[in-house]
Amino acid sequence: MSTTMIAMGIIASVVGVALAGLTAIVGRGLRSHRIAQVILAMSTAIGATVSVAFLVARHAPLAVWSFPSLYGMTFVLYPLGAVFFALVSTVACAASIYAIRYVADHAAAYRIPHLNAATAVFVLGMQGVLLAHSVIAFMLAWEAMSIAAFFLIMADRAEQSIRAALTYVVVTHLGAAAILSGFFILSGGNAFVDYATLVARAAGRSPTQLLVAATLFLIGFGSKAGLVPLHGWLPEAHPQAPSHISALMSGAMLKVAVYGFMLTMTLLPPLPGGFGIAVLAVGLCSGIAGALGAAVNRDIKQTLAWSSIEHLGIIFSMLGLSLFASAHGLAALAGIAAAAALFHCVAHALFKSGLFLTAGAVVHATHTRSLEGMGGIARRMPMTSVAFLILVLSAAALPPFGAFYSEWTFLRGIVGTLHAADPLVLAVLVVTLCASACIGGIGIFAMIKLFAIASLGQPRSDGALHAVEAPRLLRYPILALAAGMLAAGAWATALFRLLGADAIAPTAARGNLVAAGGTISPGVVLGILLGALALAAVAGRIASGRMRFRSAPTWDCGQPITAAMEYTATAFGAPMRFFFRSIIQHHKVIASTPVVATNAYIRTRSMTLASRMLSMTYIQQPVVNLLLWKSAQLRRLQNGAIQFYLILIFIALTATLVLAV
Amino acid sequence: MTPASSTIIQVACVVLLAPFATGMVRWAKARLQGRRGASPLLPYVTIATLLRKEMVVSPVTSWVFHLTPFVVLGTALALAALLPLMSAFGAFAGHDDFIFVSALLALGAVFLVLGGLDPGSAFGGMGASREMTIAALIEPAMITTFAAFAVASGTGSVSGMLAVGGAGIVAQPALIASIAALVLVMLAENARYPVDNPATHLELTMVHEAMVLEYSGPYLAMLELASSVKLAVFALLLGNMIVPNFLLVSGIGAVGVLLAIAVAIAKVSVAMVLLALLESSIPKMRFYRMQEYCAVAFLLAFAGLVLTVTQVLV
Amino acid sequence: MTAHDVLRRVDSTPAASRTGGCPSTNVPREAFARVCTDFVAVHQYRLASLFATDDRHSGSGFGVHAVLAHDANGTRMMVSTSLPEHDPGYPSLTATIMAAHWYERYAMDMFGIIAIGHPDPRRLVHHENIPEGVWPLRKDFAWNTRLAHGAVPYPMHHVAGEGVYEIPVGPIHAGIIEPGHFRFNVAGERIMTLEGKLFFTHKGVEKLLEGKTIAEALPYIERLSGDMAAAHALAFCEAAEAIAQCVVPKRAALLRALVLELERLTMHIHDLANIAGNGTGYTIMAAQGFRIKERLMRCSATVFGNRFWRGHISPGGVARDLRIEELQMIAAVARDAYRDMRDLTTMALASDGLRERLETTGILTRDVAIAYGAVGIAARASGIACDVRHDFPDAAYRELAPVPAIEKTGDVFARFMVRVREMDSSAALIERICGSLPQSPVVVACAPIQGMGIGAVESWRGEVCTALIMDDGRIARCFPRDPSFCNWALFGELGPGNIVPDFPLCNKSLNLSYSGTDL
Repeated sequence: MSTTMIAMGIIASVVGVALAGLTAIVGRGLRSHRIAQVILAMSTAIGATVSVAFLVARHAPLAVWSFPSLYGMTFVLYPLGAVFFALVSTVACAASIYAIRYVADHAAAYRIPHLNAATAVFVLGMQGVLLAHSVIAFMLAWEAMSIAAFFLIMADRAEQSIRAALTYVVVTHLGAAAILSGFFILSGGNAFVDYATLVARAAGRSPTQLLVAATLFLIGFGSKAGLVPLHGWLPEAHPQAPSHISALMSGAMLKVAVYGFMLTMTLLPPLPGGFGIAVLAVGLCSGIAGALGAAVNRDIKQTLAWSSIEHLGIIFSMLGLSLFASAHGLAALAGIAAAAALFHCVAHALFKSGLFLTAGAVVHATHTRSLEGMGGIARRMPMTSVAFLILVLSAAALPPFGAFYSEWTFLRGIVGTLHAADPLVLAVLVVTLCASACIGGIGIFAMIKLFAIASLGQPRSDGALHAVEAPRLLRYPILALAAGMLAAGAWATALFRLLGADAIAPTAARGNLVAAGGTISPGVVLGILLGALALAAVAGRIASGRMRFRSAPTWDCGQPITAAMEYTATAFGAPMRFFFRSIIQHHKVIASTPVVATNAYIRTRSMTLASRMLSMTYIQQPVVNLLLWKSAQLRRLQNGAIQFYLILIFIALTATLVLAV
Repeated sequence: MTPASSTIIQVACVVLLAPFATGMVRWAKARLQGRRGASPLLPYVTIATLLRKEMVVSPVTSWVFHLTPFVVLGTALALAALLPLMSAFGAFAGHDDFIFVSALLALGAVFLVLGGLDPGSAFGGMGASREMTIAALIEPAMITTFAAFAVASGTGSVSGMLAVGGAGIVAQPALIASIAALVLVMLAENARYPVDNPATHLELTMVHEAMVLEYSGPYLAMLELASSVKLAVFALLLGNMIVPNFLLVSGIGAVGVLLAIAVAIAKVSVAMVLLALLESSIPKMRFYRMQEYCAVAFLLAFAGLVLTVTQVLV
Repeated sequence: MTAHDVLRRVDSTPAASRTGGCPSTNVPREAFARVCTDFVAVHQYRLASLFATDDRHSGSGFGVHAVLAHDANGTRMMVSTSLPEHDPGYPSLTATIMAAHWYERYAMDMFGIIAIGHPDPRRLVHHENIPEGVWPLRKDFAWNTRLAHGAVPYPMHHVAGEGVYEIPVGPIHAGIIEPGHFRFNVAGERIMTLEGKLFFTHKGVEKLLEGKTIAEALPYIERLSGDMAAAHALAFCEAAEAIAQCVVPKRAALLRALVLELERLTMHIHDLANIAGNGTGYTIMAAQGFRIKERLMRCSATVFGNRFWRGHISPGGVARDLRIEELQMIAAVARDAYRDMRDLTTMALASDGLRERLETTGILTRDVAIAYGAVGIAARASGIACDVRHDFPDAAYRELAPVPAIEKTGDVFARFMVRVREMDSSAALIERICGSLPQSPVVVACAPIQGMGIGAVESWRGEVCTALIMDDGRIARCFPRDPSFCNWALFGELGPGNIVPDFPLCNKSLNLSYSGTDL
């Protein structure tokens, strides 16, 4: 594909997205909703296709839209941006196909034109960030994305959503302020410079200034990515949005934050290793906090949001290690870790958006978000649940699915570098290895809990009892994303190469992944697994002849059992709650009242369980309380007009800009 | 002898030997406790009996229930084919990367958990939650242990690590802590004492047995065989780490093959007697002390890794 | 009327007119609960038994009788009340005396007597399949009545709240255990509430005993609970002897005590092996302990022709005198078994892993034990000094004077240690009895005709309290209260707070009888 065609394609994609937004706001009724979603799907599909084509052809950076005179509004497609452009577009495409039916079925809950328009602005903002080539373009697109997300979070106008959106807006604008300040430090207060100028000016800054700027970027993009300690808003905000928007937020928006961080790191001159350790530490802490949060949560979408924190933590720990390694002259490890991070971004984008779409379908079928009201989905929604299981195994980083290879590459890179001579390097690597393994273990627990409690056993509520298979338009995007994870696993080597990580996937050993002396062949892994499965199947069949089945109720010990007697999510996570009680504080209250006052022993009882992360109590809550110290007044605005929010945002934004300058 | 034929011999021998391993540990336990005990060959009869039976399946279950035995047995067979148990140059010698091996173990555990939860019984859920907790907490110890071997041997493949294990334990005292950690990991992975009591009939205390409670007939036979294979695999792996001799090598004759098989039987028997000794001399741990067990395993593994790494440094 | 009035009234009654060695008094039904509460709360009596009678043939409606015991003083008291036939209700004791909760539910099921204001008036013995309005222990209910199939709900307690789930276990278990259903309310591994549903195999013994003579009834009594044959037989015989006012010869009393102690030794060995062996998985204890126990059971088979120490105790004395070589054999077997088990127990107690499992598991506090009227090992392990052998000794125990084994902590370990110490003392008692038996006849005539008698015996599990009412030489009502009946409900208190996999250990540390409860 020629560069012109690619540039045209990108423009077509962006214009198409804008057109989708316009269609949504102009038209009325479900018809225009469908048209808008189809336009969105088509234009993002074009975007995904041309950006992949760009990557395959390994083109040089390509100016898409360049009017420097227009206040430095330049947009350039270059490899790193293209990777994320492809990701965002793919996720947006799946989400918009899904939205055709999903939003129509929830017509009562949302103002469809507003929702669709905000979605288009959201996607447009993300695409803009990825194409931006100047500070002002970046920040404007970033703000468009952030503000659209704010409206999307409270799309259902429920009190909980509005509160989540307010927390989100506070954190996100703190982040935006940090990012802008970082840029200003580098550029000397000029927002209208492009990246090339920025790199040149950054070279002239003192090491302290650079470190401050880098830290501001870490805070800014880290808060957007939901890293510890600024992660608390994420499990509240992402799940409140409609499911296809949650998919976009976790699958795409978080990746945009990763992109932002990677971008700014490329803009800065080499940083000292200490900064890498800081990023690594933040990443690992987020990984553990996210995994634990997911392990003990009881809400299907919140569990996924916690899992996003975990995976973003993993990605940032990979990036942190990469920074650290390059500061210590370990170029090979730096390359491996960065490649792993990129690969993990791709994998996470696919499986997490798939999981959020699945969650939407499941919630749609069962009418509850609580895992305690689910069960029996695998029997009632077989197709969806097959995709669900594939996505869950991917999220658990198990072979043969994609995410396994980013973790493999990362761990293998570390182990292969453990013969390094520097004690500090060794210490960092050993700790990273152990912590990553911990995250991996808890992550498996969390994901299996999610699938098992939602899908297996008897339905725990009427809604779940009457659940039926998701409609095709909901099912297909999920199945496609699941298939994508399988493909990302089977062709992991090719994917690594597509991402520009040639060192990881040498062409010499065809099909093998090589990292720091270790080799693994995704094809052979898949082959071994399928072969072993086939062997087990053949052996089992031959040895037992024709298998005969008889149906009889689950063993009940002689007393009839009901759904109230199967394991709940609360119960499943209990050992984790107990073992990690110093990190996840939980408060189990068994309230009881005596039936008659004179007998203290015969009582009626009820239980409530509240758990929260340590960081919530000590870091996030005070910060948010401080910022929302007038929350009483703010809450009064809940039922107010939309303009009021706009003004509020405007004020916040202005304040940010003033503060930053 | 080609790599392929050595792998085929290995898989066949391990699968055939596996029920003996389970029978052996039961028999040795009985003997150590002063009972006569059933023949070590009883598990063969059990599996043969189960294979002929009709299966009783709960109407609550879904496709997951039917997939589980195949995946669980499949991962066990994959381990039997991948790891250097009787042959150090098998067809998959380069592909037994330790991260893949631990992921395979996790995959097997995950499906066992899913199969346990699918029938919707309280016992299955209990076993599943406990198994998943143990698997999640033992994972860091396993990765760290293997990492120490990998650093010491300079290779990530388990077959490559054998070279170190053999010349190694004496030459590299640093690995002793890692071997100890590996033993703890294996006890947890195989649901043995002090993590789980494989002989209990008390549903409320079960881990592994609670998950397979709803399985019957050929499915149960597959799951039983899978756990036996896992036990035999770990016994042979540990045996080979300490005594990496008498393995199948290229150019080996019929006598050599028979010797390798005999040595494998001996290794499994010795490991099972030791396991029986352990299981007869300590009580099962309280489940809520499990994190301490996992922490000890992890610390041992960590110590092994740190010692190995600093040795490399020197 | 208060307990004080009752006590004064009782004191002024001539001893001869007392019911079977237990002073009794009748109070109006309105005062019944108040008087009993007074006894328990103020005078530190313990509700040892509570049972109903159908006295309609004599025109006095239904009777409810509370047996109260004061362990420290060694006094016993029976407070009764009469209820009119057509309005068989009385204010519930359970509202103020927790120990009464099962007795009253039992009486509601069996007699249709209403304990008004009972905080938990659910069915107890009758399961879903028993229709409403079936009162089997009323005299006008024929024992061979065929019941229609009912569908009356039998709700179990449920803890409200999201994420709570129930574990149902039983009545069919994986092990060879009697049928009992347990329901846990759990939100993970830690038990929040625990409740049992027993009475799956009701034998109707109480009904079958009515109209029988003492001799006809004894085989039924010995088979109430297989592991407590001697204790139940002894309690029953003591009740009969109290009515007949006969005095058992010294040799017979000691021979009875011998069998009782042998039963205790056998079962304590079993329990120690079972707690450590099967409860914690310290399997060597089970393998060896059960072998040692088997020696004692074979000894019983050799001497008495059955493995359960049955058929020796009989009304008025013992069935036959034991020969010197039989006594020597018993002493030798007991000595060997005790020595081997003591070695095994010493080894087990040296295991940190085992102690770790036993200590702090299943704690029963002293207050709860008192409130629930706990008896036997469970009570003594929680620091309650109660042992019928010490508090209400018969002729043999007055001489043997065993010291009760008391532990303070109330956990599984305390119950384990109570057994260890009682095993020690039982072995010593057996040795002593076999070595120094006086010569005397071993049986006297015992023919109870009319009246009420209470017999209480410290079985290895705890106090058996048998209430017997004779009418014209035949049994009018017999309520052999097994210690398990008092202790079953303790699970609801010692279970919560423990994790589910520790429950079997708690269960084994109490080792209660289903059959003895489910008469």
